[in-house]
Amino acid sequence: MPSLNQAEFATLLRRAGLDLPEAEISDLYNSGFQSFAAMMENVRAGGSRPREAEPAHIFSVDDKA
Amino acid sequence: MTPTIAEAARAIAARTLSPVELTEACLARVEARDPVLHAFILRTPERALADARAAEGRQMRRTLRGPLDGIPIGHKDIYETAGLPTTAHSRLLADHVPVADAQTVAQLAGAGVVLVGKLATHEFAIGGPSFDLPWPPARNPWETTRFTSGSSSGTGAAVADGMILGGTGSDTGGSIRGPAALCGIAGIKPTYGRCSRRGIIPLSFSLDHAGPLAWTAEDCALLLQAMAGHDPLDPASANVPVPDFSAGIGGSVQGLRVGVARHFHERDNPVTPGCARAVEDAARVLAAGGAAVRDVTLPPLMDYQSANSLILHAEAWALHEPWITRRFHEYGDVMRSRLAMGAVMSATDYIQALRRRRELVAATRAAMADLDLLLVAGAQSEAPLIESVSKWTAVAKPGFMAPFNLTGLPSLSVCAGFGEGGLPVAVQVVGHAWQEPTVFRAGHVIERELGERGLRPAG
Repeated sequence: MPSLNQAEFATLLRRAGLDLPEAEISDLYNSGFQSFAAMMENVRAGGSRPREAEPAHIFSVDDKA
Repeated sequence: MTPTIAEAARAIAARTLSPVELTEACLARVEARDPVLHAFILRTPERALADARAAEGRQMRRTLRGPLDGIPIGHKDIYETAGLPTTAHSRLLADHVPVADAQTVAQLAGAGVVLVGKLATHEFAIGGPSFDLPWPPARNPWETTRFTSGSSSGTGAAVADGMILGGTGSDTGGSIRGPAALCGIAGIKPTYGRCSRRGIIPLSFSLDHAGPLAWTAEDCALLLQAMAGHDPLDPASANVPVPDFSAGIGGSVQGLRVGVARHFHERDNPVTPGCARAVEDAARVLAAGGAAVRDVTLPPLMDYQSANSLILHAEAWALHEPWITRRFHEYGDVMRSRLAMGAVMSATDYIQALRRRRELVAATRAAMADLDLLLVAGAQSEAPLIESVSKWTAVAKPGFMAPFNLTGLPSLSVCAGFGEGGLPVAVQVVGHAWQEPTVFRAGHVIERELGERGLRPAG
């Protein structure tokens, strides 16, 4: 998975509705986001996952909602 | 010294303890200690005394409803309480007064508890410790410069200090077990689906668990008895029988098969010597009691942390999106920074995390196939200085609790002694789904041998 650079990170924040000052974006990118980028890579399991591997759901066809 | 729930229940049943006098003692303790500990968002002394008088009436008429009748407790301030503000420790909900009780609040009230007040949390059960909110963060009663952990921070502080005998918490990545560990008490995250989440302000739909904190494992079992049960109006609530959670308390661990997830705290996230010793001591106690104890290898802690954290932040963002995009700076700095991570995740990130979740559930189940319990470190260290906790601390290193939010397995944190600086250390006892009685049985044995339950914080 290609990692985001700071400009792309800022674009995603703006797309989500968060129009933040550049200093705040920089702080978020350089501190917290680095941990999250590693986690995003981790859950891809190195691309070795079989294509039929299902996600975990809490939905069931008998759902009462 | 504040009695345990079990002790108080026996005394109330024997009519040697007045619920009103017990409540007055708790209220006096709150009055004296809460200005320092900040465990309460809202104190409800009039309500508490009314509840206590009602319980005392039942005591006199010999119509007590059970062991929780007349027991002073508090609710984490994300549990909705009819007619009482429920703020989630956030200025966004400073004026929110629910019209109905959360299902678990109603069930506990039906069991006769005395409501002493609403308890501090991290903002919306994630943003903390924060110093830019309308209420300060709770402080650890063992040393008030120290962190309680969170997010059920007020419950941890108030129970440890003896201001209440028990209380409610919620746990999405460790928010019951973290405060239990650092505050030297007990707390259980039961099996996913065991307790209704209806009326508890959500953080992450597929990871949120409701559960109790108390001074002992036995007291947690008593509280969980009232909190558990199927709720057809909670889509995640399981329609399964509710066992007697106290049945194993005082029982032997002879023959139980216990796996120690040693690589979690030795390799994946090395812990302090005191926290490592707690695991070794607990393993020794279980082995001495006749349990078959061996090491077990689970997937790396970071694998669990990654899936849990991504699911949590994606779901939390979806939940808060309508408010945070308009009122970003009304949230505290910690909360809004954490939520922003959910904003930049893609749908694919979330789905890959859900796929990883299924794989980790299967791997955990396979590793536990010939085990009854896991023994896992309770925390990375003794309680740190509250000022030293950064807003990214919770994601910078993989935590020991997220695996059991992700897998939904019941996990009990119990005090296993004291480490560096005389601060509490803890272990987690983890069971198969719906096997909380076995978890309580082993947790009680560890706590009895190591937990020094006669020792309370000074002050």
